Amino acid sequence: MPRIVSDKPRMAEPAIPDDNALVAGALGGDESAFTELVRRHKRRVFGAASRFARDDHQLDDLCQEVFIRAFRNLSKFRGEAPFEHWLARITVSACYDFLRKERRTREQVSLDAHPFDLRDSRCDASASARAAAELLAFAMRQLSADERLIITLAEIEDRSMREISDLTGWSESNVKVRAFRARQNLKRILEASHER
Amino acid sequence: MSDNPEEILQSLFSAARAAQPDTSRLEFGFETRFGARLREETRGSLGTWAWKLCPFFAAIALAAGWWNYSNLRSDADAQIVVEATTSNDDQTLLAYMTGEHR
Repeated sequence: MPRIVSDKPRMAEPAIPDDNALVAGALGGDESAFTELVRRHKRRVFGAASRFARDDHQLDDLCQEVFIRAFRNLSKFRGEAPFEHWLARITVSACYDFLRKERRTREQVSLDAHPFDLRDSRCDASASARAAAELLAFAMRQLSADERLIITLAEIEDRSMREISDLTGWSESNVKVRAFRARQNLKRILEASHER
Repeated sequence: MSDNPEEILQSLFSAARAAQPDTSRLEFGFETRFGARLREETRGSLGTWAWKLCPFFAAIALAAGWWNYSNLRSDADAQIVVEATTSNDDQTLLAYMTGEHR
């Protein structure tokens, strides 16, 4: 069967550089290579950081901090694991530092000051997810930075203990202990609020 | 709503999981903002380095000044000796030797 050959020359599609090639380019001084890495991975970073920041301004700052850390430490990226894994570790580290800083500076407010109540009808199954998320975020502000980080990664992002261990650099057994304590503390906060 | 804190916690966690905030508005133009901050940080770090290197350059300037001054003095001494020997002026030579000539 004769093959139909088009006489139009095929346009060679430009090869899309992978992350490792972009890292090499950025290390060689190509600013646009790093910009491309930012463009590719910003959604994931925003998604993770949005669990920790309280407003848009904080979120933007936090994401910029993540990419600045990535830029400064780019030479340490060995390419053994995918770039996004390396970036995820940087994101968690930046978020943890953010939580510690925020805990030092945040105003001390009681749970009573919050407009939502655990006994409020809005917390029923029909309640808006956003209101419940805000309530949880508020209760979590009573926790320490590492407890907040663990709860967010384990319960909200649904990550395994092994993943959390990899992301935080803490041992798996340490992660399990911290997660257990964080849950207990959070439960205690909720119970205290319920008793009021 | 249930009084069981474990159930409350679970319902709050599942609600939080479901409420992934929409960040697309913030993501828009992020590269530009980030680029500006990166340039600012780089400039800032250059300024920091310049301040750190300040004492080093000050020490170099002082050393150069001292070297120049000592060279000028030895040049002046040499000039007097030349003057004294060429003009055979014993008084000048004597004054220089005794330290009266400055």
